[in-house]
Amino acid sequence: MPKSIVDKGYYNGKINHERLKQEVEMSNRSFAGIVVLIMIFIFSGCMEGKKKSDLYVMEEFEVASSVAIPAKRIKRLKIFLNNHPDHMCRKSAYNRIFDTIAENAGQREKAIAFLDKSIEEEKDTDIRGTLYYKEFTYLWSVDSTEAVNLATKLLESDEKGFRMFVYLGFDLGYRGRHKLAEGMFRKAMDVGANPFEKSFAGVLYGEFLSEHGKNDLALKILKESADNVFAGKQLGKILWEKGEKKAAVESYINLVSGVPGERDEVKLDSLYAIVYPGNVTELDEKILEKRISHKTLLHGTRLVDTEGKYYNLSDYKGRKLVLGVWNPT
Amino acid sequence: MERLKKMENELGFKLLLINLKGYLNKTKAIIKEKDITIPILLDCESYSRGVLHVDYTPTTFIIDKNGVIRSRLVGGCKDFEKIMVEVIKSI
Repeated sequence: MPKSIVDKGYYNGKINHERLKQEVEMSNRSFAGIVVLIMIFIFSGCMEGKKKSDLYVMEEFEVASSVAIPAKRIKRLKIFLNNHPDHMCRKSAYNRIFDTIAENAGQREKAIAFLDKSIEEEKDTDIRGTLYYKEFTYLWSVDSTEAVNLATKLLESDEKGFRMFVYLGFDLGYRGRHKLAEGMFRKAMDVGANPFEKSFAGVLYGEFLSEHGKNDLALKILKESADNVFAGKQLGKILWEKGEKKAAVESYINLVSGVPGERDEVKLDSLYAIVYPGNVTELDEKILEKRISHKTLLHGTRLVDTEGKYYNLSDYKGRKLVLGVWNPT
Repeated sequence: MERLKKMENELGFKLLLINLKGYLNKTKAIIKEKDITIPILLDCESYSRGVLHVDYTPTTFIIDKNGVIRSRLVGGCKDFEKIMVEVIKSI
């Protein structure tokens, strides 16, 4: 005899069939109700899970990343990489694993081996570049010759990590390896996939050349990179020194239209007053005209906030949108 | 930016922030610490770099009603809000 029947008083030596029948019917209805509720719960859970999946992945990464014991942290992060081989958080996971291994000075080879294996398996050009750059900076801290060898190998390779070459150019220039640095900047301009990337590399290359007294080549490169408003800063300086004052002021206006904080820095108002005396009031109009002259269509996307709510940037058509991209962390 | 947010209805725009790095807990901590009310979106797909081509932060985009980026401002300055209002009104 089922215990529940006994407990509920349906069996006291004999079965109360009528009551039991009613209870079974009610129970069946309840069972059907429960099934429906479970289905709703599972369905809504799935929907909620889908909505919050990005957030869950990030939480998973941050939990794995903050495990206190290094060996366990590495293990958790490797599980994360295995579970999310395509998520952008994998870049941070690679870095965290490497840093954890490299904390132990005796594990240098193991740390490098981890990076090399990750680079070999990674398909994303940009992430591979990040890992190579990580390897370069690490090698530089222990053996600069090995770091230079790696940089030289990368310069001759088919790698297309635009940022990697920019960072290497910047680093090598700072560390006095000027020739190699120039090669890196040129390579970054070559492999840049669009005008934004090419001009970003060009600005850094132009500034580097100018700092090292190669103003003619700097001028050429900066003019080619004028799509990037930062080109205007060094370009304005060189042109002013060459006596091409109107062109210099135009370069500075271009700079200030995109980087408002530079207006005082380059003393634009004073220079404008020298070149166009009596017309200073026009300056604000010229800057504004340039400032709103962009005409690129926003390619929308869907992004999640910290509470799991999704925002589709395409939904704001019909309303003006101000989108600030920052890096508060 | 919080001062600018108060002008959303008056000037007819929506203000959103994207955290380039997409770190969840650090972003939550900053929101709490600085009492930020502007929605902060986490960039887990490298949208800012890959699509918006952001190489400097902060970068602010002002997009018109047709979904066209009309202005792209890098950094800030003492009269940044005033500049933003001028741009928003002009597009």
